[in-house]
Amino acid sequence: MSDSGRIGQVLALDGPLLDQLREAKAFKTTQNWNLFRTPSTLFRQETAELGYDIEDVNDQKTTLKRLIVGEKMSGKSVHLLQAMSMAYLNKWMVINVPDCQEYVLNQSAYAPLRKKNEADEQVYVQPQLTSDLLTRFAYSNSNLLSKLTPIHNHSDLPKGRNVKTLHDLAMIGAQESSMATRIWDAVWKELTTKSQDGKTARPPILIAIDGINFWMGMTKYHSADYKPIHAHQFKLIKQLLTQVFNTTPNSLPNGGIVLACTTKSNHPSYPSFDLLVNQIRALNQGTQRLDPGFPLWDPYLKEADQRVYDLLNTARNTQLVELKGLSKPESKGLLEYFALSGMLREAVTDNTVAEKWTLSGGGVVGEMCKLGARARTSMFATGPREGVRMRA
Amino acid sequence: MPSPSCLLRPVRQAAFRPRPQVLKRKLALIAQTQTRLASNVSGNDQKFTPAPPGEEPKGPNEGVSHSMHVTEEQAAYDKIQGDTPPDIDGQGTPVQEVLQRDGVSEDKIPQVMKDDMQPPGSGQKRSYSTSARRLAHTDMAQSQISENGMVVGMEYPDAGPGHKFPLPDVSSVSRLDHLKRRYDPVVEQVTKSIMRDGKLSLAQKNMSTILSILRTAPPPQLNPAFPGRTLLLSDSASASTSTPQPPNQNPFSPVPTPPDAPPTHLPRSTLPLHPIEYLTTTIDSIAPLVKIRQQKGLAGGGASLPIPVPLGIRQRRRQAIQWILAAADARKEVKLAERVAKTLVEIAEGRSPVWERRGMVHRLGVSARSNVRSGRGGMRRR
Repeated sequence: MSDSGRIGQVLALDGPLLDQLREAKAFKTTQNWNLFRTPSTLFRQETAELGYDIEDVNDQKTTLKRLIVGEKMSGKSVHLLQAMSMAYLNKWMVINVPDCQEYVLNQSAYAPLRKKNEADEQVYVQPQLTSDLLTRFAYSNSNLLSKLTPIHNHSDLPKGRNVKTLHDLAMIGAQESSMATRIWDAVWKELTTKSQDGKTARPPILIAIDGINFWMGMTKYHSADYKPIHAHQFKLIKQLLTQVFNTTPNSLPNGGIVLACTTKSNHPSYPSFDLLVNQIRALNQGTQRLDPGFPLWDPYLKEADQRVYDLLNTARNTQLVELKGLSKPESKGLLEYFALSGMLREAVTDNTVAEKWTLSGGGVVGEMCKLGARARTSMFATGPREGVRMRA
Repeated sequence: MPSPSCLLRPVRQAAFRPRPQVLKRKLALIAQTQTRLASNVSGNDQKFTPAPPGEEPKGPNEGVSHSMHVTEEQAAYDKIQGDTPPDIDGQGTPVQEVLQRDGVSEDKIPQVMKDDMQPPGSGQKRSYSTSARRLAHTDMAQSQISENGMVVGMEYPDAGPGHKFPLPDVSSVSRLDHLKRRYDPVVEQVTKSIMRDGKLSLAQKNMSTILSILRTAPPPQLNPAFPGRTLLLSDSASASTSTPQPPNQNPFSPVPTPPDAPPTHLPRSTLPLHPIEYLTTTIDSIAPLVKIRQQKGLAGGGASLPIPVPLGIRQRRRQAIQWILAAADARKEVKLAERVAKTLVEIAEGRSPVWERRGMVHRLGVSARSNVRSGRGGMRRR
C-alpha cells in the first residue's frame, strides 16, 4: 500500500470497500465515477505518503493532523477518499464529513445549549446533522462496531435500550435525531478511551473533513437576539476543529489521522483563514512566530476574525499538504487508463502526455480527467455552412 | 481682394454673388458677341435688329430677337469653325508602327514594348464565345493529364482547371480550426435546440451529459420485431475499426463528395465508444426525407392537396431533433439530459414510436408523389 513503485498506477476499488465508501458518502456526483464500471483512483506521490503515515500510526499510535490545500480540481477530495479507503482496509474507524457547507447554511435545525456560566459564549447544537454523521459512521463501520462493546456506563441515556455493541449505540442516534447529540458524546467518549485487549479494543480513527473553509466565518444562523452566529459556536464544528488544530500530543489516544481539506469551488472568502494557511506553511518551514518573515495580518484590511486568528495558537502540530499538479509519469499512467477504458481515442505518447499536461494547467488532475474523457469530433466531420470548401 | 474694412462686416455681405454692375457688364459682352455673329451671316441682315446703342444691355435672350431657328444658328457656327471637326486622334503615328516601318534595331526597343509586340499576322487567339457556360467535360477532354499529374494543354499548367495560380494547400486546415465552427455540426444543432432563454452553457452541459450517457450505454441491438428500423450503418464484416474513411479530399475531383454523410464505417458494437457518431447516426436514421406541404384548395371541393417537398440535410436533422425532444418530454426521468439520451438509445434500438412518425410521413409522401408538380409556381395549366 505504501509502495512507491505503484506511483502512476490506477488502482481499482471494489468489494466491501465500495459499500463502506458509499455509506460514508465519499463519492461525489461532480466527479467522473459514472463513466467507468469500477471506480478507480490514481496512485500519486501524496498517496504513497499517506500510506507511510498510516503505517506510522499503526506502529506507534500517534495522532497526525493534516490540512490539505490546493487549487481547484487538484484532487483534494479524492485524496480524502484514498485515505478513507486505506483506513477501511486497515480496519480503522472512519468519521467522514463530506460537505461542511451544510453546517453553516441554516438549512438544518439548531438549538442552544444551556450555559454553565453566564459569561460563557452561547453554544449551539445541530441534532439532525449530528444524526446524519452518526448514520454515516454506524453504517460504514458496522463490521468493526458490532464487535466492540461499550466500556462506560452512559447514565444519561434512557433505560430500556438494548445496547450490547457500539453499533447499537450509534444506531440509536442515527435513527432518532433528538438523542443524536447525547449519543454522539457517548460514542466519542468510547472511541477516545485508551484501548485494552479483546472486546474493548479500540482501533485508530480517521477523521476526514471536506471543505473546512466554510467553518471559518459567520454562518447564516441567527441567535435569539437575531445576531449572526459564528461557526465556532456550534458544538460539533468546534469539536472537530479542535481535532484538527490542537497541541495535545495524543489527542486521539488510540492513534489516528485527522485530515481536513479546503474546497476551491463555490467557496466563501475568509481572509483570516488564508492568513492562517500561510502562517501554518511558515511554521512548517521552521519560521517562528516572532521571526521577521512570518506572515502577519494586513492592518489596512477589515477586522480580522479573532476566533480564526486564535487557531494559530494551537496550529503548531498541523502539517500543510499542498496538492500541486501531477508529474509526467503520473499523468501518463492516468491517460493510459483513460485510453484503455476507451474514453481517450488517441495514442498515449510522450508528446500527447506533455500536451495534456500543459492543457490541464501543469497536471491538475481534474482538468486532465476532463481532457481524457472529452468526446472529440472526427477530423473529417463536415456539414452545412462549412468554411473551408474541401471539394470542387 | 476685400478691403480690411470688409472683414468687419457681417458674413452675409461676403461677396460670393457677383455684384449687379459686374453681371450687367457680362451680359452686355454676350449680347455684343451675338450681334457680331448675327452680322456675319450673309443675307440675314434684315432679320436682325440689334439693340440700339446707349440703352441698357439686357440678358442673353433679351436684346436680340431670335428669328433664326436653332439649326440655322448651328449651321452658321459650323461655317465659321469649318465643316470638319479637328482631327485630335489622328495626330500622330503609333510608336510601334514607326519602329517597324523604320526597321529600328531590336536593342533600341524597350523590353515592355518588345513583349507587347506581336509578329505580323498574329491576331486574337481567343475565341469570341459569348456563351458563359463551358461544359466541364469538354475542358477535360481537351486537356490531357501527363504522367506526373500535371494537366497539359492548358494555359496555366501549374494550377487546376479554371485557375491561374496553384491553389493553396488546405489539407492541414480542418473545419474544427475555425472558431465559429469548432463543434461538430450535429452536436451544435442539438445543443442549440435544447437551449432555452439563450442559456447556451447550460445547454452545453446537458449535451455533455447526454454524450456521457450514450458512452456508457450498451451497444444498440437490432429489434427483431421491426427489421426495417435499422441505423444507417454498414453492418458488414469488412468494416474497418481503426481509421475512418475520409470523404474525397481532392479539391480537383469532379466527383462531388457528400460532406454530410453519416459515419457508416463504424461497426455497431463500437458505437458507444464514439458518442458523437452514435448521435449522428441515430439522428440521420430517424430523419425524414420529405415534408408534406398542404396546398389549399387544389384537391377539389375545397380540400387541400398534400404535396411532398424534399428537405435538405439540416432541415432533416432539425425535424428529427424536434421529434426526439417531443418524445423525450413524455418520459418520466427528471433530468432533461437523461430523458433525451434514453430516447436516443430507444430509437437506436428500434423500440421508439418516433419510427412510426417517420414511417407515416414517408408513406404519405409516397402516396402523394404525383402531386409534386401541382401548385409549383408559374401558370396553371387548364
